Amino acid sequence: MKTIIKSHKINCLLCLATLVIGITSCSKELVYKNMPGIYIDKEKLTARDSTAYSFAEKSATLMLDTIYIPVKISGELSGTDRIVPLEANAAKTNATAGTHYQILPTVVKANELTARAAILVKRTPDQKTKQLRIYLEIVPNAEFPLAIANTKTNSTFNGEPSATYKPGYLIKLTDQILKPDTWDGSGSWFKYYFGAYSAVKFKFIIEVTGRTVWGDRARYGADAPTSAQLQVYYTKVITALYEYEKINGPMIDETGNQVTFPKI
Amino acid sequence: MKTFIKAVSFIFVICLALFSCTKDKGNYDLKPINEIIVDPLNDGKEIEILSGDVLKLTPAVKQENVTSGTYKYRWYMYGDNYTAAIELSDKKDLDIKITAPIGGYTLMYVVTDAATGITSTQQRHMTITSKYSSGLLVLDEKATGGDISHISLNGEIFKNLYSEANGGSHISTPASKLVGFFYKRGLDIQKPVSIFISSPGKNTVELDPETYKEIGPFSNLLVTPPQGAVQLSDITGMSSGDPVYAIVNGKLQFSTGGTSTPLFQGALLGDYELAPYIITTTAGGRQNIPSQTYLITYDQKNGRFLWFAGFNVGSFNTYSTDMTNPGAFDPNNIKKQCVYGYYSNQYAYYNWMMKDAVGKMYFYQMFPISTQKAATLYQEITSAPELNQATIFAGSTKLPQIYYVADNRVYLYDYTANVARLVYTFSAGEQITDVKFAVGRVPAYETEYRVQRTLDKIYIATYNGTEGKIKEFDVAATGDLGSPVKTYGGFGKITSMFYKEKR
Repeated sequence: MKTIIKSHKINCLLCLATLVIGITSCSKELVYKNMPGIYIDKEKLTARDSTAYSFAEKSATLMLDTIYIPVKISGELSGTDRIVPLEANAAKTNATAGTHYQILPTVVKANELTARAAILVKRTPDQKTKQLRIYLEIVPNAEFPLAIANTKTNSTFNGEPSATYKPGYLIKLTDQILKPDTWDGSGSWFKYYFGAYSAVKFKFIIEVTGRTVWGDRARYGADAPTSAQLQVYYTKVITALYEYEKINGPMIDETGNQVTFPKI
Repeated sequence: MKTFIKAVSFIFVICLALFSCTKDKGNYDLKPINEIIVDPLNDGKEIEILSGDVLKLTPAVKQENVTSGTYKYRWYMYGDNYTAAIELSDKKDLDIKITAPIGGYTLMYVVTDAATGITSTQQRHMTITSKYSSGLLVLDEKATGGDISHISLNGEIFKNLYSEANGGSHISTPASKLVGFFYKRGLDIQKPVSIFISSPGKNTVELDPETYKEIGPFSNLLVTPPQGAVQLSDITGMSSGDPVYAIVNGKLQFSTGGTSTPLFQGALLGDYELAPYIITTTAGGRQNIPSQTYLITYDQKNGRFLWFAGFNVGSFNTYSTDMTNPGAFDPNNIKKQCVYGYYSNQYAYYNWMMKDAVGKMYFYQMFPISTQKAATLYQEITSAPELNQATIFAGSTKLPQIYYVADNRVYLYDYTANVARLVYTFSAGEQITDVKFAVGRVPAYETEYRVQRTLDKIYIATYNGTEGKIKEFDVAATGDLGSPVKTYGGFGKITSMFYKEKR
């Protein structure tokens, strides 16, 4: 009988405690407040913080192109479309809106988490002699009031995010030959077939092969050459360099180093 | 509690027992399958047929318990390399002209009962050959121009094949040559042997190896053809791996291979002009040769051997100049004209014959490494009559011997003994115009991965001013020729022969 009474007492105490927690949990301070935000989804970008876009690597007739920037929301989904508040930072941008680029209106559709912001870039004569910068960033507004600073990758190392990304994104725009962003990337065929980058070397490669569009690491995507084509390009450039050196001696690049290609 | 569990279990078991006795009231209409029985194709024997011939097969089809069924038929075949199926017929009996490329196939016959969908399948391996699959290809010159004949291994001769296949046109004269090679990846398209005609001052052309119709210029296989006439003087694949090498206008063109038709990416780099002989090397599958060189050639311009071992176009290499471990000679410093290069009777040793400025003859043997130790044997040849006049050679890969000719005489040089002997003399006025061994060209472990192996038969072409003849000899175990076993006549002046091994 004593045991039964003791058990009942414990149950009563538990009920009381639960009631107290339940009541206090309804206090106003603990209610989740939705502050929607949006950020550039760097995880989806091969070049995380900037991209170099050169019309010189495209068809001579291409006057416009579109660069897509992936964005992702923070906070709850919305039942309505929301405009992506992507703008160019005037202090960090020397390209002229309308003349060199145009940020096209993009929305995050209702009940969706992501979108692709479209940036129209335009070919102009001045890009033949200089490189323009378009620094894009998210500017909080009424629909996305939360300002998101650095974002972190999902993958972790020793319990911490293995990478942190800055919020802005830089587009370097020109009509000159630029070092492809992915030249030194993992598994890059640029590096395998042609070795270390130099502007003189890349210009020579383009002249000899006639190819200006190389794609991601000269290996991936529809713009990349096939391995058979690369073998031919490799043969052409080492043969052309051999012939060049017979007449002119070593080819020297902009850093004073001799242009060479790896033996493969 | 225990009592309760026992009670529930008991009731459950009782229920199961009661329901297990329920009569199956399903309405099943069981019928026999009525299997289709098809006779084995070609009475169960391998089918061999010539390309262009008609294949007729009339297998009996029966079905159990059915006398007049309705069936669908499908005849098709696929290649030994699992090429796409070739549909042949949808009739009960096969009666079709075979036009597929020569090679091995599996012939399939599928009979389907239209009412039930039951099928029965018969299959039989089939080999499509051609009259020109194997034998000796002969290029001869007459007043009308050059033409090609084919001597089958059974001795049957087919003449005027080039002119008939090419709208009456002829091969340019004089001195056109047949050049060819075995290409393993060509098996993918049933074309393992490629044949070309190389004519002085003209673009080399490729022939269809089964019809001898011109396919197109050899330059089609080059990414960057050289200036002027594109002339092929030798071509060969590797004993293992896909690369293909060709000497074009004195330069070595390189193809990584890997495709059913090779595409040559470009010429190896360097200041050189090659003798028309390519040696691709092997370790025979029996040893590991550290830092093996895969290719040995001779640079006529600079009088030196060159080697290559890369998998992409690069610089041609000279041999190490480190003389602390010298070989039999310095491969970088030969300074003689190469008159012949070929495989030896040992898989990893390669023979070269040279002539110096005053007409003395020399024998060199190379091993496939890049140091001075590549030079394994060197000797001046002092006991070989008329050798310094010879332009036609035929090395053996069975015996340490090389045949050479002077006018109507055939000599046999033994490089182990460093002496030559006369082995056959043709009638006076019969000038020897070419000598070719029957050869095997398929590298395999059993054949020490050699890209060429001579067999026990040799063909010697002669010309007496009016008629070209070929005498076929069985080579004795000593290398002696004895008397010819067959003679083929009625040709013009034979300038070149090419042996197509039996497939």
